[in-house]
Amino acid sequence: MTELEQALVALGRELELPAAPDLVPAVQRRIERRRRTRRWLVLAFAILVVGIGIAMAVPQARSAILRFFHIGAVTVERVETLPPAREAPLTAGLGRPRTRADAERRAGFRMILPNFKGAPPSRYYALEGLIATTIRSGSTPLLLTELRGDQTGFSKKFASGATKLEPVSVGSHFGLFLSGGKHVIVYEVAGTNDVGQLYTRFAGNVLLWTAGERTFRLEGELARNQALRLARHITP
Amino acid sequence: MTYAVEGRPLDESELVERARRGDQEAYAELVHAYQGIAFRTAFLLTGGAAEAEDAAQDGFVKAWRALGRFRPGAQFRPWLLRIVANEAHNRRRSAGRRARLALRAAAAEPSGGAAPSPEASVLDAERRETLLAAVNGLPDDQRDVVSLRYFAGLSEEEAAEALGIAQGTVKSRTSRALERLRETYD
Repeated sequence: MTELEQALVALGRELELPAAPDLVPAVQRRIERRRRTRRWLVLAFAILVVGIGIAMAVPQARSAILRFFHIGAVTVERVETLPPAREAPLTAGLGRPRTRADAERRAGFRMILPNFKGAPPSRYYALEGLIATTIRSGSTPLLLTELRGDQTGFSKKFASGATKLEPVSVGSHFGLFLSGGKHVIVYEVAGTNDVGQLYTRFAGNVLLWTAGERTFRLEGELARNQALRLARHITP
Repeated sequence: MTYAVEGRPLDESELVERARRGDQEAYAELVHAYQGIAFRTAFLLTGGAAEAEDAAQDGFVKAWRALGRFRPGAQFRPWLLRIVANEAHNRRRSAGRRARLALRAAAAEPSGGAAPSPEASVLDAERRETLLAAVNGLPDDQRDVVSLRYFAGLSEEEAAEALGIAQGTVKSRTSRALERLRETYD
């Protein structure tokens, strides 16, 4: 080892290195929570499969909407025929762009954002109980939407069989990843000023998850793992 | 519960095998044994204590989930450090910056009339500051290698595994880094 290398080793001993925290309890808690979630998911899927089987055996039920999942402020529905919709920009239906402060005032809560390499987004969109902005993952544009509690009814419908629906875990939080065939997003806002269906458009891949009283929705052409990675940076 | 002593547990392969079969207690022993080096590695790559703790914790959780893909008989420590280092890099990318490493307060001060420690005899306070500034000024890829090799004490092979690069690349980056540092040090 040269003198410089010895000096580097000596320098390493003089660095301000914080004491390593005891990670065992936190890691054990997270592993245990994950196990419980997995067990719950297996049970939920078993119930779901039985439910679908029963519903599909009844012609009336088959032609009607099969309500599938309710996750936070979002309802996911399976339908045989998609409602009329059109291709539109990610922010279509969310009103005019606003500053962050203005959007947060309109939404009634502060938005949680991931850390950005460069400048944070400058345009935000808001309805009562809902705030959104566009972010980028590499060159892929994404729409990040956050909804407060159940104040906003926000439903997504998709054609039976065309869209893949996967339960996922965002850290310790439950989520759903929708991908594949075309599906439709409908904003149905029940606030003081915004009543009824506002906008309908085709949607890309979507990750939905909840944390506390907040529902998060991340939309764009991202693979499941990419979306999950980003979601973990956003979730408080 | 009782943990194995700090450092590499004697029966590591048995612990890993038990953890692979779902034994959480065995995995807790592995976490206990490697949390120090995992945190240190993450800290050196991110420069922040909070980010390092998150990266190390997430790394351990991910490693637990990935144990099914761990090759029996392989070394657990470098495999784990690779996962932790990935987490640390992700956090560094998200933050868009890397905190600078600093000297302990006592180390930054001149020793006065006291007899110098063996380390201090190799490197006096002023040269420590200068050398650390030079390390902090290295490009990220070279600084990562220097930090893991000399500050975390990883072998060349372990540093290569942790950073996901070839051992030859560790060698060449180390050599380029030392060349730059020598300009300051000599």
